Amino acid sequence: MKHAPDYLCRREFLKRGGRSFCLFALGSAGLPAPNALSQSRPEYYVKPARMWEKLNDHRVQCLLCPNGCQIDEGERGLCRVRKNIRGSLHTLIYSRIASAHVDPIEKKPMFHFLPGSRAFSVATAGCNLTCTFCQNWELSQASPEELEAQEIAPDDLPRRAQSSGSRVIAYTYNEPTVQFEYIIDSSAVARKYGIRPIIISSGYIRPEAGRILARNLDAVKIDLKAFTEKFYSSICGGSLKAVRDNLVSIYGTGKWLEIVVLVIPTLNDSASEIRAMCAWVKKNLSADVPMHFTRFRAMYKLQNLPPTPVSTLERCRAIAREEGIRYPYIGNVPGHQWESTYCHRCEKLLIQRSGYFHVVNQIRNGSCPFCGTRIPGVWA
Amino acid sequence: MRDIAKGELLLMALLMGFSSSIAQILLIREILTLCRGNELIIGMIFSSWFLGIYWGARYRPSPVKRTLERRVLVSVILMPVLTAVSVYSSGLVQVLFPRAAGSFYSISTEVVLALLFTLPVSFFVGFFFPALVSLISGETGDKSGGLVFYAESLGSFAGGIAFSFVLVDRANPLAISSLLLSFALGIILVRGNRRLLFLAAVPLVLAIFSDGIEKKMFAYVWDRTHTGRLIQHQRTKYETVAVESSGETVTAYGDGVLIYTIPDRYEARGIFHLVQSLRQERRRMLILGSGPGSLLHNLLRADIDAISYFDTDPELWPILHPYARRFYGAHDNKKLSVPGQDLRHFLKNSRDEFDMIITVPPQPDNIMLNRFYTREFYAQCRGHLTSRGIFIAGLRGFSNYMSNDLRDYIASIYAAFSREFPVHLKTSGDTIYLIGAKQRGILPESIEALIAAYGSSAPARDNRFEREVMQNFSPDELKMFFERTQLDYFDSVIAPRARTIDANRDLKPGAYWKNIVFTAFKEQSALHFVLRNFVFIPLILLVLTGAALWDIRRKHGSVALLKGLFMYLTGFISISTMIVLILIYQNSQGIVYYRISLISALYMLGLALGGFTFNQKRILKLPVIFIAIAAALGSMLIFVVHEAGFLYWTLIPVFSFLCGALFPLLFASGGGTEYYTAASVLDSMDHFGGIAGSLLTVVLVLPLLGLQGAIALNIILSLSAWLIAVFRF
Repeated sequence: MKHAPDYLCRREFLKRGGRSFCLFALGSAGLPAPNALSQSRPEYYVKPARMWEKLNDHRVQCLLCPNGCQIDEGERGLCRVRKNIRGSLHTLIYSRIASAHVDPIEKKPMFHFLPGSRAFSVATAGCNLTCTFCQNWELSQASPEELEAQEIAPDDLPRRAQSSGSRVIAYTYNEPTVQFEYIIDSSAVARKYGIRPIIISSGYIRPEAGRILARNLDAVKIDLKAFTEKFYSSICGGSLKAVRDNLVSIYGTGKWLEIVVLVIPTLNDSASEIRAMCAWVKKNLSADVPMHFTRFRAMYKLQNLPPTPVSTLERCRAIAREEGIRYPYIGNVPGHQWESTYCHRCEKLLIQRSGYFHVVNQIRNGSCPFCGTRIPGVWA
Repeated sequence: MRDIAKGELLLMALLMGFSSSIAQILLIREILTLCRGNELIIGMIFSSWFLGIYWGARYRPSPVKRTLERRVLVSVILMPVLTAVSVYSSGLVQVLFPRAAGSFYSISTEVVLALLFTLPVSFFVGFFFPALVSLISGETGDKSGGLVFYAESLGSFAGGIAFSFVLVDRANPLAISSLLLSFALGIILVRGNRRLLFLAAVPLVLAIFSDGIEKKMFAYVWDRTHTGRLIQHQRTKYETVAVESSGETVTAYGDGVLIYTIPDRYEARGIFHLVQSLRQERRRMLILGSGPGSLLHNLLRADIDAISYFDTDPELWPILHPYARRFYGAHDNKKLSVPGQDLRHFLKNSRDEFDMIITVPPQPDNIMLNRFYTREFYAQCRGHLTSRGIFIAGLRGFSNYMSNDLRDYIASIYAAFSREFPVHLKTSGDTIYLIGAKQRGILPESIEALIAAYGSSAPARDNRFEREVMQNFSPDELKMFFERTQLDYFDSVIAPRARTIDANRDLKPGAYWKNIVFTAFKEQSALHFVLRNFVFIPLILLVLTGAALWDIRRKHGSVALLKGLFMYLTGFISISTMIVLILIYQNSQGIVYYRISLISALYMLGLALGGFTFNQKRILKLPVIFIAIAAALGSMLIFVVHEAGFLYWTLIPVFSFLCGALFPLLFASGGGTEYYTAASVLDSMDHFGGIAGSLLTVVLVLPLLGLQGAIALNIILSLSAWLIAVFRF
């Protein structure tokens, strides 16, 4: 990886001071950002995009997400990674991987999909939302040029995953749907290697694009950030309806789906909101879709908020059970009993978890070993 | 209405000095609470203070005596009123322009608010001065304004002493402002209309009920801007502490920044087991900053002989402990000691040794907290470890990617730590723990060995500990601290950077500064652009200074230009040194505002004495004064490096005495009778230098050169002034 120059050391200060002075003297408006000075922009990261249409005067409209950005020539969409180049939309992040780690699948969290397996997790820049509590804001709220990145071509990604001992490739951390083209291409190769591609997404994508994406994946985890339009518009810059439509659309493809709700004190933790959300999931998706109520910790712009009380999470889980959700979980609370999986029929412990490295799985052939009930999920 | 007598005028000057020094310190304290305790704001407040005085003094007084008197009276009455308004406006702003719960205003907004809240008060400090000088001059024929200056300085000194030793922990801002207003009304009405004297009692009534009023106001603002309900609010020596209750939890905030929440059973689970896995037979422990929560509670139940507990704010424990008792019951007093001292102070003076030291302070949003992340602090901790001792330091980590700003922040702390603890382990995650040992061979050779050893000791089945900390525990949970690819990423990004970056030091608080840059980046604040391209501020100031000097030369000639330059440099050096002195005090004592008023008082005393002495007799020549200033600064440099505390309080009046000498010396030098012009040039350039000095010191000199570098720069400036004085003046 390349590093941008550091701007606070004395040498750099003197260098930049001199340079700035000259620029200032010439009446320059300002210095380019340090990354812009140093980062190269290799052409191979730029590829023609899919899901868009031409408008008049070299303008284009992106059809990937509900933002539906109408983009002038030379401009980018709200996600920062799709650009109108000479009247056609291009992605700027094809193969441009800014972060790659090997995570347990439980960390995503995905509890009904190959438990105990490793996920080769990759991310790039950009997001079509602006959530003030984003854990990965340094990726999601950045333009591609601002990040140090490495090229991992679609053919290379499964090989990397395989060599790390991963059974899964997870497109995660930032909003993966903005790298639609790369996911489509690399997931097709991954399957040839027997590696399962999944995405960890906000679900803020148009249903048609969501369906195409889901068909190329083995599982999808959606962050349902709240159940009010107000929260989506004021905290995330998105729309709940679009996410709900997409959830229905993705579930319709038959791919494995789990839902995560980050419960933030006072912002989205009211009992009525959680109840309405669970009722909607049961009615429009299925009672078998696992729901994870995860604990908020101070992040990004919400630095000064205490963590979600565990009792709030327990209450959310209880509401979900009352509404008929069969697999509600509590997350980010290592050691808590509701991080483990229990058979919805006999209520025996099936998968014991403490943190995301200790997983004891008793499910046999996708069924409860105690009562034989089929447990929804992907187990092998 | 009869004319105001000279004695009354001087009493008003005294009162204005008294009020303004108290107003300044109250503003610093309350604005710090709004601005996360960030000392960058102190520099901004000083800049705004000088700007306000400069602006206020620019309004030329009308020669009509009644107008002059009215101007003085209005200033004397408005001063305490505006102080209260500015202080409580910080709360009002939060109600009028609410932030999302859990978020801060951007750092640029905080800077602008600090400037805005300071200006009205400082404007009237400048506004009253020329009018009072005119009135006194009319009485005495003294055109230098010296008397007013001495009276005001004496008032400032008295105000600083009164605040520092009497008012600071006895009276709230509303009570102080009310008392000052009552006094101001009293001296005005005694002279003017005695029948209205009862009006002076009205603020007194307000002062009596001020505690209740203030609590209600604070709770009103808090409950509208936070998720929980305010249950306690207290100003300690170190910060303003607020305690809120939300559901079954209690959260403590210092200067508006979350310190910790109790109970914290699940948060403490990981670090508790990490400590237990490393602890083995270690029985004497020191902990900083975990709070009276589950880590402390469970460690006290482990087979440990003694735990010494410290908070970053030593006054926090008595505030929080009663709440902690609700959740955890009474602590084992035989095992636990809470010295109630600043930890740095304790480590400096104690000979105690510990088998394990754990520090988990809040992130270094201010220099008070940065002191617990510096190389000097880590060295102190190392010095207090037994031969097989282990040190664990917590700091903010990263999720999956580090921007350059975050990387530099972590690297500066890691560099400080790793230079003191070359043998160490580190963990991954949003919170990183750096684990250092005093000797080789103490820490486990691999994570697997650590987990295996802990697993075999079967600690998980111990029912002495809280259920939440123990249930379903598997030593595999420790792997969450040591995720391989995250640690590889750390090694590839942080380790090389830590070799080249300046380690975070007491005298050069790099992590604090990088944290500001990172915060500005995170908030997408305009300040980030300014800080990244930080040559712009000096360039703008350089251009403005050049323009001002050129203008003086054009209008008043080259002698006036040199006088202006000397005064500019003096203003620059004196305020820059003042900021450095404040930060030095904070570094050693952990307190920022508590003694600023005393520092300011001594400074004003020296300034007045210098002015008075040189007004009577020129005992030193101009070049000698600059050499003496350089020598005083040199002595400061020595005590900064060698921490010779006894010199601290002595050097402040000595230094300011010399600075105070310059004004009368320059005023009288060069002959001529254009007093107003001379005073105007000197006064404006003094304030201009003050504005430049405070701004440049906090945004450029300190981050780049550190505290000792700032003093060294001021020595160079003094010597340059000496050279100019010798060869050109």
